[in-house]
Amino acid sequence: MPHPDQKPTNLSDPLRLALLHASFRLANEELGRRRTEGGAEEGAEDHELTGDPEDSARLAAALRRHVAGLDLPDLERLRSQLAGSFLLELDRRMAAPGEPPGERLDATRLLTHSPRPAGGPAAPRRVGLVSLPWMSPAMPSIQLATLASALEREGLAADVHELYVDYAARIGLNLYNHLSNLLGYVPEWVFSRHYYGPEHGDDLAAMLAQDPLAEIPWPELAGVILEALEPVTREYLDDMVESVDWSVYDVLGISLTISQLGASMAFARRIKLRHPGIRIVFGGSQCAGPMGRAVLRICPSVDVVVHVEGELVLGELVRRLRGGQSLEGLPGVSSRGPGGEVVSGPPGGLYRETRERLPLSYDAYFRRLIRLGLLNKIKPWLPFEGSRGCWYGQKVQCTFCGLHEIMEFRAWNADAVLAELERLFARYGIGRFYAMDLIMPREYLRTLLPEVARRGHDWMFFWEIKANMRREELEVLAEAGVRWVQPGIESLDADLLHLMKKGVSPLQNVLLLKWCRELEIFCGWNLLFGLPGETAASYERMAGLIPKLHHLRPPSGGGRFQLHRFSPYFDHPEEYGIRWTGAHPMFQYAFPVPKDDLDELVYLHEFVLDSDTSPVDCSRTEAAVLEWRRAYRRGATLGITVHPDRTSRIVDTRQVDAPARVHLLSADETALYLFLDSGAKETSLEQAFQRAHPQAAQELDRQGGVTAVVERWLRDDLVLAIDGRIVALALRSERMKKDRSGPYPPGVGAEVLAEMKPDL
Amino acid sequence: MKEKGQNTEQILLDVVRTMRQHPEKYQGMRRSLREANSDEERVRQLLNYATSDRELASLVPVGTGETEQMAWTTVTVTTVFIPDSAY
Repeated sequence: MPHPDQKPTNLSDPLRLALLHASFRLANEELGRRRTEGGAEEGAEDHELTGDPEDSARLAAALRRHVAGLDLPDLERLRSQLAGSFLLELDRRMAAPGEPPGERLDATRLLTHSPRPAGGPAAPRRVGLVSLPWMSPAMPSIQLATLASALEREGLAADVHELYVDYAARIGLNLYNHLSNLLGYVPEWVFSRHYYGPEHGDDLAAMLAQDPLAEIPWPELAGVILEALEPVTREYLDDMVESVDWSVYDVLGISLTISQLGASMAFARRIKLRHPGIRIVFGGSQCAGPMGRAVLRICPSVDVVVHVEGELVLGELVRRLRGGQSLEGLPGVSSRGPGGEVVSGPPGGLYRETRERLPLSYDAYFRRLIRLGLLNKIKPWLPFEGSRGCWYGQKVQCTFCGLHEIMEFRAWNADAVLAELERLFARYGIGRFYAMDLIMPREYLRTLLPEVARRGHDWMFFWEIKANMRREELEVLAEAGVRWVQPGIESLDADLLHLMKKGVSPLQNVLLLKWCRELEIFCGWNLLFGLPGETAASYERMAGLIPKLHHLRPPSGGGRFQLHRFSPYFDHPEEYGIRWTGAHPMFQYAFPVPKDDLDELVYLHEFVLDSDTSPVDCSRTEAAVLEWRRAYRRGATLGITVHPDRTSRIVDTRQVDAPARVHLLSADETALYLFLDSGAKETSLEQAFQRAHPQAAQELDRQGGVTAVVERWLRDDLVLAIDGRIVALALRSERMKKDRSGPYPPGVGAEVLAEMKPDL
Repeated sequence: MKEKGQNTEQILLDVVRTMRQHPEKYQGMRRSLREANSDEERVRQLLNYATSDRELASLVPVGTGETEQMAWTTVTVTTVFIPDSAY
């Protein structure tokens, strides 16, 4: 983590970036002018200059003459070349020098075996499985690997094509990553303009007027970025159609999750134009429920939509398509009837085979990395599944959670999962595993994870977890190599958590953050605002609480909650004082279709709150979060070091601009402080401590009593009164991971940490 | 790169100033611009420089620690992960 005062180092050449910015813009403007006015124009006029003008004015004029003098194909070529170089230079500006963390892939095994599907009339028919942007280039598609395996089990040959990796390589991995994390309508629009462009005109001006890239680090470049993406994306789509012999496939299955609809439609259309005989099947979470039927209505290039988990029906679907049979009655599948109307089969079930895993092959992804020269540019994670559904959500669904009918929890047998992980590790030599689970199965704390640790695997995991984990459970995670979790924290206020039906308390959330910090588990979490029914008091409380937590990891993000399809807020808006107004309006630029279709097509929706549930001012909490981030980046800490004589010292640098505060605790006080690690009931604290540490309690009684000590600590913010409990806030240095703590950042807290380090 | 709406002259002014401020870094470019016979030739040199092949940058975002880098290199699909800049 760099010190904020350090200048960020990156690989970008400012000269190149400026040149590309200026020349691409000129080429783009000239091309636009030619398209509307036709004909080349010599010697365009110079604009007004500011500052030192001579050199730049002459160069600008010459650049204009150069661009204006090109014939149309050369101008288009130059524009495209400048666009690609500009995006890659921008990507360099976003990138840090060095290699990404993680182990290097041993690719030798993959290189020795590289089958390619054979074409020709006598070749057996195959199924092509495709995934388009914006999946992460740092991971193969588990969706495609699973479907390929399911088809293979049924004797159907399939090939996997993770085409999103190619796009990431074209626009730069960091820029791709940034764009893919934007709200859906921007990444969708980047591609959907290549589907709709010819019929509906280009909505660039309308889209730009909405300031869609307001959040990017360089808003002055937003327009140029979006314009530069146009030729690069068009070339990419054309190349993807040309670079593979798609004629060997009679069925193409395209997997769609978040933000993949625009790209998939644009690709499907090009494939249909080139290979009209190929049947195109869309599936994935973007096709759940009415969204899939809307896709069929708006996109004639799509023949069939699968609404359910694909392994259930894809084999039978392919057989029927090949046999010319009707798809009628096929559960969880929609297609077009004789009159072009959308016809849906009965609802599909759920995939419930949990004893053995379908073997996954990520060979195609790694071969693609090799082919694109990305092996040293990305350190991939290997996705795997431990479960599907959510064990908490099937009891109580969080009010904002948009999981659909896949909510029923199904966990795979731990032995089967471990066998799969070991097989993947043996094949790829990569021990970075990304759990696709919506929530970690509780039983893995007793089965899979201890076994991973027992076998001595030096692996690393990402997992989504529920935030109510106990300290010893988090230790199990850490021992097994879970180094990155995404818990459903969402808020630090009891009333807000209650409104969300999160099933966790602020105390549990704070404890999780504290223990994750001690165990060096990266905790990515959001702070949600703007819930229906909230009050200002919640934000006042959080604004008061946050300065005490500066030594814990702040939220990675936050903002007003979003209205997602399938969530209780969406399905029963009237119960929460919400008035649904339709699809998020920005999607109209990505998908210029009738409103009824758009409302059914998208996952993200717009709403207004009833006047009596209007969101309250949360600016104090937002300001507190900003300060939290600043303090954390500068090394804010609150740590207790216990000495051999059982006395201790607490060093507090949470207020990073103030001198460090040091508190010396007697042995008895230390016993009390450590007793409060998990929190103790405020009303029965004295009795509980008396039972646990009678001698120390007796000593403290002589010095004024436990209550007096705790009150002093409360005044110094060394402990927190929360949810009727008193909890110690300081991190215990002797429990912090020794081998995973990197070099500490410079800054106010660093000296203190360095002082504590011998004890770590 | 400054405020919105910068025109070509202003951007090229930045280019010229950047070359002057870092004479060693852009020594070769400065020399070839000086030796060029016309502004048209200088423009071609600048375009060649700007579009010449560059190695693709690794996926290592600036300003993040190791674990955060790992977090940034993947996209979680069940929860919208709102970046810092949302604040």
